[in-house]
Amino acid sequence: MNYLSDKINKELDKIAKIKKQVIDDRIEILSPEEKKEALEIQKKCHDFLKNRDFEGLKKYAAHIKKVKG
Amino acid sequence: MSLKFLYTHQYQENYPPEEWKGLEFEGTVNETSFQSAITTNTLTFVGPVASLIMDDWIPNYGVHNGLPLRVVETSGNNTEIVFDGMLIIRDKEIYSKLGPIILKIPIVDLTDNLNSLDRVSVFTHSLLKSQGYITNSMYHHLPVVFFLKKGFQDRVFDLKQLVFKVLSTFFQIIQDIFSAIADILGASVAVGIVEFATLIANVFIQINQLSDLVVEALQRIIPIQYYHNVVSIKDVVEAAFAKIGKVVKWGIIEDEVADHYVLSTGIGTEFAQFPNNSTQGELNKFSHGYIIDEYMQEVEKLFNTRFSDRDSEVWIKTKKDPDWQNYSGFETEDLVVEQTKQYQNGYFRDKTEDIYATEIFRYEFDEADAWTLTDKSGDIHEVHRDLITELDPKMNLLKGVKDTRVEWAMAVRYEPITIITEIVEEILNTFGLNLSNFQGLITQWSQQIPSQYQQDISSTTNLLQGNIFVALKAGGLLVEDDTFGRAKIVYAKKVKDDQGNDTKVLSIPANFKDYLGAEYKYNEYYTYDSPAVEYNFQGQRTQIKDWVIPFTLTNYQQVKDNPYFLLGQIEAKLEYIKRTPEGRTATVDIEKKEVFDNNITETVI
Repeated sequence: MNYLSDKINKELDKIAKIKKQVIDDRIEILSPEEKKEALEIQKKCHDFLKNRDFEGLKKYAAHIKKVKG
Repeated sequence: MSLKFLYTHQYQENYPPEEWKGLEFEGTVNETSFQSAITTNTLTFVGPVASLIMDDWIPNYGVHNGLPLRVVETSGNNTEIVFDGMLIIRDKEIYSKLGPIILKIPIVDLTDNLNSLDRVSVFTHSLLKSQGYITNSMYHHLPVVFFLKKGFQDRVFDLKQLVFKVLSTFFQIIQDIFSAIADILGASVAVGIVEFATLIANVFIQINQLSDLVVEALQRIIPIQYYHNVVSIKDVVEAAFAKIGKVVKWGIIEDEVADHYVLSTGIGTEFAQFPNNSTQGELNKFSHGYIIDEYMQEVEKLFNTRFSDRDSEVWIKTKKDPDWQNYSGFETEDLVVEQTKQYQNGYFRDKTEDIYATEIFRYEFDEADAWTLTDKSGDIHEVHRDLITELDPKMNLLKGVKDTRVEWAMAVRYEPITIITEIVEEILNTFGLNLSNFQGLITQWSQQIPSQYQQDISSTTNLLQGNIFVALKAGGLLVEDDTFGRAKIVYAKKVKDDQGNDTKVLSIPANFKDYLGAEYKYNEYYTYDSPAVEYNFQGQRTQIKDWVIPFTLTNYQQVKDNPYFLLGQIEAKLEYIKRTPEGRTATVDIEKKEVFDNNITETVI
């Protein structure tokens, strides 16, 4: 069981690193307009999560994927 | 000084019996009061009294009506009935039928030697309640928490399964995240952001579901709380003495006695879900309630008390109470123990029988309640006495064990955080996780406890919700279930309302063992009797026996209600008196507070 909990803790660390690599680091190298747009999308997503508006997030994600995908 | 002999139910004065000059009156001190009696069993009557019996009493009333006899002693303005009984006419022996008639007749003392304690001893709690001496206003509501100690391992097993489920789910969530991140890598940054946010949303939803599961599981280990009415020891004892018209004076223990309550055996006892007067609140030892005699014996042990009848008052005060130093006015000189070739007047001895090598104060445990078996801290205190200088262990004369056993089980306080933490901690330790999240959850619940829950819980819905939160509140009496077999002794304080006034609801304070624990009881009340150097040998006493001293009727009246007096400047107590009114002397046994051995020390075990 200790193995399981250690594993979870390590995996959570990995997720945080990967998230930085695949999102945060990529935002930094965008053009100023694209960066501004990406940060707005990220803020909106944070707001949905903060308000626990999962349905709203789902609709917004579908919209972004349709427009930017 | 004179003795008057009064006969028949009209108590007419007549001639004394032949033995009147040598009559001796005996007084035995029972803790603080005298039980007096005449030393002879048979008296001889001649002349007018014999004629009265043979010619008047027997022809009119037969031999099966006892003939009243009262002896009154007078000295100056003092008058005292020193014998109140009867002649047993049916057992008379006639030694001469003619001039004079001589009769020898047994006598019996009918003096009511019962003191107030004897009288109240036969009462029961139920009797006092039914006759209105114990009233509903004396009831206080004691929270009683039922929580099975025996189910502990089962609960641990259930929760281990739960934690395994939680961790497995977490693990699955993480795997899902990794697999989703692989997709994000090929998408645009904007799509990656919303995909990642959606992943986090899914994690939130799953964690919420897990959280609900955890909450439900924790609810299973939260015990159920009920209430039972209890009456303080102070109120019960005062009610018993009120029935015989006496007021109880407690002295320095009064406040403490008021915070001691006894909860009867659980068998056949009603418990209520709300604090109210619906339960009887009786000391229900299989319905009649505890006999006050049993009750008073435990009170004496709890506070190491002396009892004394004082006119309209009774004193139930601990032995060290300064009120006991209100000595009677009796005085005698401390120098007349002497021996000549012809004459020995009294002798000294040490009361070594009151010195024990080991002294224990303990509460009984309840075999039917595992909590009293396992929560053992504070219910026993033991001291051992040794010689400061011991020459040879084989010749150490210290011996004996004084074992003071309170027949009630000491309360176990319900402390929810401890109990829940104990279980959760064991589980989390197994998994190597941090306890803080679970403690946070518990703390959050605790904050939701309404301060006026007794008013708030007014509907079934509120009850169902409220029981969880109320039960989280510490301070109830913890028992396994409603079948515990031994009464519980509880130290509790009244819960205050928002205005700071006392309510009828009780709570056992976290430091209750500071007042109920065996160590406290010994240190506070029993060290007065300790013969050891640590307590200045204050429990040591010597005795003067068979000591003949001048003793008048006034002396008798001084000591009959209060046998404590100063012998020189030292506290002393009359233990036995045999006096001859005609001789104005008495043979007495006296106990004296005096150190006779400064070679004893005691150690707490």
